Amino acid sequence: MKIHLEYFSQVRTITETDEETLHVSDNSTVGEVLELLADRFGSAFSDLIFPEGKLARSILLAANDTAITDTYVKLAHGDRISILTPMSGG
Amino acid sequence: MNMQTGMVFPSNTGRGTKELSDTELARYEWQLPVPGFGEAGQKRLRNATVLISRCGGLGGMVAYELAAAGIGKLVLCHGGNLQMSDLNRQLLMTTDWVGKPRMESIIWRLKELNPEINYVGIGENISPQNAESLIGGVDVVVDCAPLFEERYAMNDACVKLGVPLVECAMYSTEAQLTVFVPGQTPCLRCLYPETPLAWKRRFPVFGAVSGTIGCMAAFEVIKIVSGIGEVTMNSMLIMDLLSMKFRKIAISPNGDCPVCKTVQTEAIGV
Repeated sequence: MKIHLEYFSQVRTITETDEETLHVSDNSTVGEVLELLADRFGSAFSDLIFPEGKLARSILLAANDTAITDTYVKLAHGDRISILTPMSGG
Repeated sequence: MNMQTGMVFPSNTGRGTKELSDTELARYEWQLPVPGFGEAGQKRLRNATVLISRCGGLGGMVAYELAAAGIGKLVLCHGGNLQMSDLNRQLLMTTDWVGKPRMESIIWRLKELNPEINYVGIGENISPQNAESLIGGVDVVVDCAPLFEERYAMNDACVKLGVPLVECAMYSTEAQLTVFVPGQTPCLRCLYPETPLAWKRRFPVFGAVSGTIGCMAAFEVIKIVSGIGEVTMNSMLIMDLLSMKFRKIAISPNGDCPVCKTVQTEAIGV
């Protein structure tokens, strides 16, 4: 199935694109997609998303424009996953 | 369209009924006719106290717009001296002020625009030590600070004191905006429970990006205080000025949030 991915802020700096469409296995979870991306984008992505080997609590994930905390959520064809990191002022 | 926020804050309950002066009527002539706003809305702005944490690229624009709009009292927190590298975005500063205290320039520039406002300049940044004392008695806080330690201190004090927090942030060509209202929305720690390890104090950004999000944050304050429009609650506006994409993401409280939980526990007397 196809899913759409959106990257923001520091994530985008690593992926070097703001969005893309990905083919994944049916019933893939959000967590599995993140692991797939870690394999693809390497240590810079892993260090940001999985510091100390687990999902950073400061990463904001959204599925179809709703924030989620459960990475075991199963995805459906056409879903849109957004990966955001915190920003600040200055 | 719903033109009322339905939010009730001390500043929009009609406190202070003194009529607008001729000077005020003239100064605010272009905003008074905005539907739903009028002289009642202007009086609410005049009666409000707003704290802005850091008045740099983002907060400087918030302060400028709120001074222009006629917020009665602005409490402005920003420590340190002006650096040359601030000048691509900190529009309340001037080149000849490099090396001197930012706060003096901030107050001077704001008074130039609107001398009718009561400006309280605090030449230090928000910290866990001063957050509650500074935020006590304030109607709305605007978080424009670069460090998460400051942002968390502000958030925690706002939740404890029941003060709405306009949360705005930026990175490169992107920005985020939401309003946290204690008891009605998530708080900053609900969204970001831990200090983001990868966040760096210095990050890329254009002044036009900080200015844009600063103006939008200022208008959230105007809506909250005057009671018009729909405040960005329980959703986060995300935008990228490079592609001009604007979207809202629904956000909700985190049941495990230590800050929200503490306040709820206190409220029920546990």
